[in-house]
Amino acid sequence: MKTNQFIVLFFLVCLTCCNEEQNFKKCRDSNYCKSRKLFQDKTKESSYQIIPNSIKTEKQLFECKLERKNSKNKHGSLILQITFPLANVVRVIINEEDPKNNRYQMESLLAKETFEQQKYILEESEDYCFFKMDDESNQKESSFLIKLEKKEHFGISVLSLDGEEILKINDKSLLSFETSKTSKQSKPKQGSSQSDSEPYGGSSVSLDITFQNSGNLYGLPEHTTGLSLEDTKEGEPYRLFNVDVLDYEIGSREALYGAVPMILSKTKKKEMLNAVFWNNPAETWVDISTDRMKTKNKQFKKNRAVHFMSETGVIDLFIIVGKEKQMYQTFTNYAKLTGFPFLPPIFSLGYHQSRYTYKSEKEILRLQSTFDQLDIPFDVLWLDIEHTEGIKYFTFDPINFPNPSGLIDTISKPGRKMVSVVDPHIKKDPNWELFKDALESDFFIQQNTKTNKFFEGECWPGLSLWPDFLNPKVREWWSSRFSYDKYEGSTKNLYIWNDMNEPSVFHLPENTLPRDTIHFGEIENRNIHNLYGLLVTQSTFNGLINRNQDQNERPFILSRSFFAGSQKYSAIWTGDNTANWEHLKYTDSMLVSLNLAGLPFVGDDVGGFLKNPEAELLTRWFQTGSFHPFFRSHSHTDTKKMEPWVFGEPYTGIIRKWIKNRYSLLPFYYTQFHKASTLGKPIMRPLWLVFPNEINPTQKKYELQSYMIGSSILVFPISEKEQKTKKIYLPKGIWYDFETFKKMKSKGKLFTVKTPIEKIPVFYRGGKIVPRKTRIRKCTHLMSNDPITLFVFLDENQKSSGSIYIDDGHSYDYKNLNKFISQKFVFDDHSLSTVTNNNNYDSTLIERIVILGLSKNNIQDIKLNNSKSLEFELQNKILTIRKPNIYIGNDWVIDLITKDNEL
Amino acid sequence: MNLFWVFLLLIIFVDLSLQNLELPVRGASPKLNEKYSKIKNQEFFKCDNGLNEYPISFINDNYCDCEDGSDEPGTSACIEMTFYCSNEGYVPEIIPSSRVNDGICDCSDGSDEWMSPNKCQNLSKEKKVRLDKQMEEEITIRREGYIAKLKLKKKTEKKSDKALQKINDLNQEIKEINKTLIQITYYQSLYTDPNKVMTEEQKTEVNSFLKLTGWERFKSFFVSSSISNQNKLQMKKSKIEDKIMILQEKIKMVDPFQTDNQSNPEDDFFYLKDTHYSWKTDDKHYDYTFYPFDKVEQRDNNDRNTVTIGRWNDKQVTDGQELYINGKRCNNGPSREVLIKYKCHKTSKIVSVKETNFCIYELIFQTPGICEDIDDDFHDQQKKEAIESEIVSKNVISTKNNNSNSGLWKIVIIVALCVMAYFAYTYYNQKNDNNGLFQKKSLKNE
Repeated sequence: MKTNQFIVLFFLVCLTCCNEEQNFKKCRDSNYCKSRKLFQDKTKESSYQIIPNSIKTEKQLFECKLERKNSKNKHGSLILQITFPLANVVRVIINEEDPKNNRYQMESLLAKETFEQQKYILEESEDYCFFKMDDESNQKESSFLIKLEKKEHFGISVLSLDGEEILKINDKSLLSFETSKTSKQSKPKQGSSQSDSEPYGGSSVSLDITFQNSGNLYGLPEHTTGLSLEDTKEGEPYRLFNVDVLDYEIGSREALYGAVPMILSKTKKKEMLNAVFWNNPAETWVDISTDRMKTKNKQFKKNRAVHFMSETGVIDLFIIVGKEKQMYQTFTNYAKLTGFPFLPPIFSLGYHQSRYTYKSEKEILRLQSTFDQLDIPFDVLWLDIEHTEGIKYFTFDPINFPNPSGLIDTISKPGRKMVSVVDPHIKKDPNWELFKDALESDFFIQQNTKTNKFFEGECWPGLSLWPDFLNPKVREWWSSRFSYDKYEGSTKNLYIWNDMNEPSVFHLPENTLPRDTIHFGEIENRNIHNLYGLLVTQSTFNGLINRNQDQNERPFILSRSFFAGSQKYSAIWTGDNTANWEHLKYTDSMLVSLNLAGLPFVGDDVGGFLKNPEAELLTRWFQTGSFHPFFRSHSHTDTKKMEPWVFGEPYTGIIRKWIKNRYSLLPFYYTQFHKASTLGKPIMRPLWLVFPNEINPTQKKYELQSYMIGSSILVFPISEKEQKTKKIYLPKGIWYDFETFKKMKSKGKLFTVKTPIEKIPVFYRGGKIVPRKTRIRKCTHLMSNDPITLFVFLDENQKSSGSIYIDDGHSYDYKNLNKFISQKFVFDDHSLSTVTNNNNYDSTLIERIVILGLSKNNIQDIKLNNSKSLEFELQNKILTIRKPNIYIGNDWVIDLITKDNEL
Repeated sequence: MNLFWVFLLLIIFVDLSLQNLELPVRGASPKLNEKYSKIKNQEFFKCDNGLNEYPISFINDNYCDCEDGSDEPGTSACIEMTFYCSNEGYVPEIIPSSRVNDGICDCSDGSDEWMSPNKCQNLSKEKKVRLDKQMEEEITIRREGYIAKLKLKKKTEKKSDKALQKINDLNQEIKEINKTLIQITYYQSLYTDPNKVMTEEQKTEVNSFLKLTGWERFKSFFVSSSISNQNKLQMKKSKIEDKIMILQEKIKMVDPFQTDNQSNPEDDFFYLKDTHYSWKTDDKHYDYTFYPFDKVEQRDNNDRNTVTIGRWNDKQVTDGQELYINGKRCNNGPSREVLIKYKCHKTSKIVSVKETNFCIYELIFQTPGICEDIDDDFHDQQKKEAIESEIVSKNVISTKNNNSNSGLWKIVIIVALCVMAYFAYTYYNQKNDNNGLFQKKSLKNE
C-alpha cells in the first residue's frame, strides 16, 4: 500500500478539506452572483429597451440595438440578433456592440451541419415586432410566433399560434451585461478566488426566462438534488463549473465534474416539452423560482422562472419550442443543435471491470481467468494511472507491464478490449519526449497575461503542465499521439479513458485551473472553463479514428468532465461516488438527468468508488447498474476489492445472473443506442416522459423510484438496506415480470412486491416487442452470430410493436456503406409482421418467438408467409414458436390461426 | 423389382429418420450416454425434470426445449448447462455449454467447436505427454522433498532429545529449589508464630534440614524474631523465587510449544525455528521477510519503512496453509494479514508474495516440512491422481493466460477427482478380485 503514500496522504488531506464546505465557491464569493436579484418585482428603471430605428432585417437574421433606459451613455449599447436555426428553434444572441474584453462565443462546437436556417416574416406594429416562419411547409412544422417589445422594456415572448404564451425572455428584467466600464468599482474577490488577477475586470452576463404554465423543470446536470429542479429561493443557486470533487454530497446544488446549461420545462397537463440551452461555457449560476397565479378561468397556473448568470461571455440562448404530443422532438432538436450521440461500438455496452489500480500483467490475466472460471461475462478490463511509467501517460510501466501489446492481444483474443487512462496533465519531465515535444511547440496553457510562463500545477505525477486544447494545433497534436507508433504498446483493441479533465489541479482553489490562465487567442480560462473536458475528448476521439489507416473504427472514450456536445465523443460517468445507500439512491436520477440533457451513454462506479460496500449494497448496486447504459465497476485503491465474486455465494451467483441479463438484452440496448444516435432520444427515461398523462409519475416522490430503458423496460432499483418488499407504481397498462413473465394489469396503481436480495422489480411493458439473445457467452463479440429470440408482450388490445437495429458493431460501414439492418415488428390482429427499413447486413436468424398475454388459447395452427406451418407450444398462456428459422432482416408475416379464424 | 428396392430403401430411410439418435450423444458424459442408450429406440423422451416429453429428434437439435436444458447436452442452446469433452487419452473436461461453437477451442480434443471441424486441433495426445512429463518431475520433487523432511526430522528429533534432557534437568532443579522454599516458609512460620511451641521432634527436623542444606548460619534468622532478620529472610526467599522464574524461561526457550513431550504437527517445521527467508518483488519495490513461528515483514525500498504484515497466531498448519494475523493496521483499513501457503520442495524459500486484496497478502513458501510420502502402499495411487489433477488444473490456467483458452479448472478438478475415485474404486475391486494392477504389471514384465 505504501506505493501510494503520497496519494493516500493527498487523499486524506483532500477528504478532510472537501468536507469543509468552504472549499468550493458559494454565490456570495462571486461578485456577479453576490448581487443576484432573486426575481424581485420588475425593476424597469434599470432595464433595457430597443433603440428606435436600429432594426435591420435580412432573410434569416434579425438585428437591432439595445440600450439601458434613461441612460445618457450611448457607448454601452448592445446588439441583439435573432435567428431560427431550426423550424422550432429560436436563437437569441446579445453581445456588446464593440466587444473589448475577449468575450468568447462558443460557435465551433455547435452541430452546424444539422442546422436548417429558417427564413422568417416580420410584421411590425408600433409597439411590437412579430415573427413567423416564412416557408409554408415550415409554418406547418413550426407552431409558434415571436413577439418582441419595441417600446417599453425589452422582452421577447414565444406564443403558440392561438396566442397562448409559452415562454418569456427578460420578463423579470434581469438582463444584465457587465462591461469594463460598468465594473470599475469591482473589488478583489473574497476567499478562495484570491489568486485571480482579473485583468479585464468584471464581464458577467445574465438573463431570465419564464416558462408559462409549467410543470416540473429538468436538466442542468451534473447535480445531486434528484431529477426535477428545485426553487432556489432558499440557499444557493445551481452552479455549473467543472470541478473535481472527491466524496461529493447528496442533495447539493454545488458544481460537479460536468455541466450542461440546458433546462427542460414540461408544460402542465400537456404532452409538451419546451427547452432552453444557454450556450456559455463560463462559470454559470442558475436561480429558479415559481410564481403561482390565477388564470382567467380561475384555475391555478404555475410559471417558472430561471435566471442564468454567467461570469463572462455573451448571451447566446437557444429556445426549443415544444410541440404538443411530440415530446421526443424536443430531444431531436436539441441534438440537432449540439450534436447527436456517437453510436458506441457494441463491446462497450457489455460489462466493464476496473479498479484503481490493477497493478500488473499478472493481475490482469488472473482477473480474466477468474471471470472465466466463474462463468461471468465481461468485455473490458481497465488500466488506471499506475499502469504507466511514473504517471507519464502514453507509456507503460516496463516492470509491471513489460509486454503491453502482448497483454492486450491475450485479453482481446475472444473479442474483449482494454482501456487505459490518459489524463490531460503532462508530467514536467524534461527527459520525456512527449513533454519536450509539447514544450518546444508552445502547446501548454499560459500562467496569465503578465508573465510569459506556462502554467504549472500539481497532479498525480507531481509538477505538471496542461495542453491548451483550445488551440487547433494542440488538438491535432494530441490526436496524433494516439498513433500506434507514438503510443507504444497500444493496439487497436486499446481504448481510452480521459479522467481528471475538468481539469483537476491539486492544491489550488477549487482543485482546478486559475481563471486567469491564458488559452489560445488570449482567451482566459474563465471564458471556456467548462469546455476543457469536452475538447480533450474531442481530440482523443479524432486520435482514435485516425490511428487506423482506414479511419473506419468507432472510438470508445470515457470522460469525467463534460459540456453540451460531449455526447458526440464520449461516455460519461458520475465520478468519485461513495459506497453508501444514499449514493445508490440518487445515482439513477443523476443518470436520467444526464440522459434528458442529451448525454445517453452514462453510468456510475458500481459498488461506489470510495469506502467499502457490504455484500448487500454491492449486490443491489450491480442489479440497477446492469441496466445503466454504461456498466462498469470501479473502486479506490484504499478499498477492498469489489469484483463480482468477493463476497462469495449467494452474492456471486446473483451478480452473475444480472450481468448475464444485461448480455441477454444487448440487441435491445444496441437498438436504443442507435435511436439515440439518430433521433437524440434518451435511453434512460423518467416515467413521466413515457407516461405523460399520468399524475403519479410527475410527482417528486416517484422520481427516485424508477426509470425506464427506452419505453419498454421499467426498472425499480432497491436502494434501502434489508428491503424485503417495495411499493411500486405501475402506470396504466399491462406489465410482465422480467424473470417469471407473470402478467400484471395496472390501472395506474401502487403494488407491493417482494424484493428478496436476488431480485429487484423489473417489468416489460405490454405493447412492446423486445429482441434478446438467450445464449450468453464470454463477451459481446462471441455472441454476434447467435440467433435472436423475439419477445412479443401484448397490451390490453392484443397489440404490440418494436424494432431492432443490427450492424457489425464496430465500424463506420453502417454510415459509409449503409451496411445495417433496421427492422420494425408489428403484432396486430393475431399476426406478426415486419416493416423493413433497411436490410443490408449479414442477417441474423430468429430461433424463437415468444408471445405473451394472448387472450385466446385456441391456437390451431401458425403459418409463415401464408404457407408453411410452424411448430409451436402453448404453456401457461405463453405461446412459443419453435425454430421459425426466418431471418430478422427479411420481410415475413406469421399468422396465428385460431378456431374462430377458421370459422 | 426396382420398385421393391425403392420401397425397401424408403422403409430403411424412414426407419433411420425415426431413430436418429446416434450414440454417443455429443457433449454427454458416459453416464448420460448410458441413459440415452436405453431410450435410443424410443420415439419420445422425457426431460430430466419429468415435466415434458418431446420427439427423440429434439435431442441436440440446437434448440432448447426442456426447461432444465436436458435436451441439449451438445449445443449452446440451453443456458447454464455443461458440455462434456471426452478427450480420449487424456483427462476429460467439462465446460459451460455457452462455450460450444463460440469460435474458441475450449476442449483439449477440440470437440466443442463441432460446427467448424477444422478450427481446433485435438491436443489430447500432446497434453497427455506433457502431463506425464510434468507428473514425473513433480513426483521427483515430492520424493526429494519427503526425503529432505525425514532427514530434517531426525536432526530436530535429536535436537529435541537433547532439549528434552535439558528440560528435565531444569525441571528437577526447580523442584529442588521449590522444596527448599516451601520448607523455609514452613519453618519460618514455626519460629515466628509465638503461639506455637515446637515439639522436640520438630526441632530435630529443622536442625537436620539446616545442616543438610548448609544453612546453619541462617539459623539465627529463624530463631530471631527481629524485624531486620525477618526482612533478610524474605529477601532470600524472593531470590529463590527469581531463580525459579529464570529456569522456567529457559525451559520455554528450549521448547516454545510447551508440548509436554507429545508429537505435534508443528514439529514437522521445527527446523524453521530461528530462521528467516527474504524475497524481492519484480520491481524491487518491496522486500518481504518471513520469520517462521514469528511474523512476516514488508520493507518498502523507496522510503525504507518496514511494517509487519502478519504475526504467528499459534495455530497449526491446516490444508497446507496458515494465516498470520494482526499485522500493522492499514490507512483507513483493517489490520494486515498474510496467508502462508506451503509447497513441497527439498529446499526452503519464498516462491512469491502478492497482495490479493486490500492489505491481505499471500505468501507461497516451499519447504520440506509439508511434504508427504507419496510412495506408501495403497494410497500411493490416490495421491498421484491428486497430484495429476493439480497439474491439470494448473495447466488449464496457464494455457488460458497464454492463449486465452478457457475451461473451468474447478470443474476439471472435480472431473479429475471423479476419475481418481473411479480408478481407486476399480483398483480396489481389482485387488479384491485378485485380478488387480499388480498382476497386470507382472504380466507385462513377463
